Amino acid sequence: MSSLIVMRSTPYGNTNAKDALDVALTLAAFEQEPALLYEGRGVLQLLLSSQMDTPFKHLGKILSALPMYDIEHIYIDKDSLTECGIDAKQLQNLPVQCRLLDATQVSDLFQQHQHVMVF
Amino acid sequence: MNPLSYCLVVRCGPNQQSQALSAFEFARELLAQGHRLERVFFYQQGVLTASSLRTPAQGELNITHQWQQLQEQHPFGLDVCIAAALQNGIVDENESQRYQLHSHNLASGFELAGLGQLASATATCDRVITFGANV
Repeated sequence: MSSLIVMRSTPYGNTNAKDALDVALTLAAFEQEPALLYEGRGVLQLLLSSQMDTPFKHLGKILSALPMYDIEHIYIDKDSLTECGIDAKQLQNLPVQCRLLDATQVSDLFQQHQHVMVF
Repeated sequence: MNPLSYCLVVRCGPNQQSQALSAFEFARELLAQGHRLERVFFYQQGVLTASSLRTPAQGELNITHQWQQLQEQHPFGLDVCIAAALQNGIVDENESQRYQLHSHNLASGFELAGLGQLASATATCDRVITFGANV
């Protein structure tokens, strides 16, 4: 009975990134162990050091809270990184551990979850 | 046919007409086919659907009224995310008093709820269907 939350939006273009993390944190608080997948332009959310000060809550702060909520299944679509011109080395300082997946593994991930919510 | 339990998540505003309407029509149809609708959860811009002050132009569909009428026929939860509601100026009497606002506008039949209601729906419903995801 697990949920996969797919992060597909740019970090601050709308509230999707934050709203998705709010859903993830709530599911975790209800002990449902949600998984997160960053794909498409959603991988830009992971470039934390390039995000300027905004009047909104910095996504890095929320990301660092994920381990406290036992959210440990965090995945990144490898092809999306390439498409956005991001080198995996740029993600070394993330406050959470993420696993890089190829296209087949991403497809398996969708199969493994009962509910999928795309943000 | 095995009846399934559904939770719908509405994330678009009431004026994103085709998406807002799709959500409503999907709800009406699944009930007509004998499935169970546990709750509709309004999130992000979807919370604007719950304003009792919406006044569409004459001759246009009022989606707020449509949800209210459907809920009168088939009891299901019309849950409005409280955090998104407050950000978008949708308040009930309690919140109006708590924040010392001069009025309240949550349409009858709708209830302010936490994201926990969505979490409980993902735990118990066979299907969770999202409408109006702006990605």
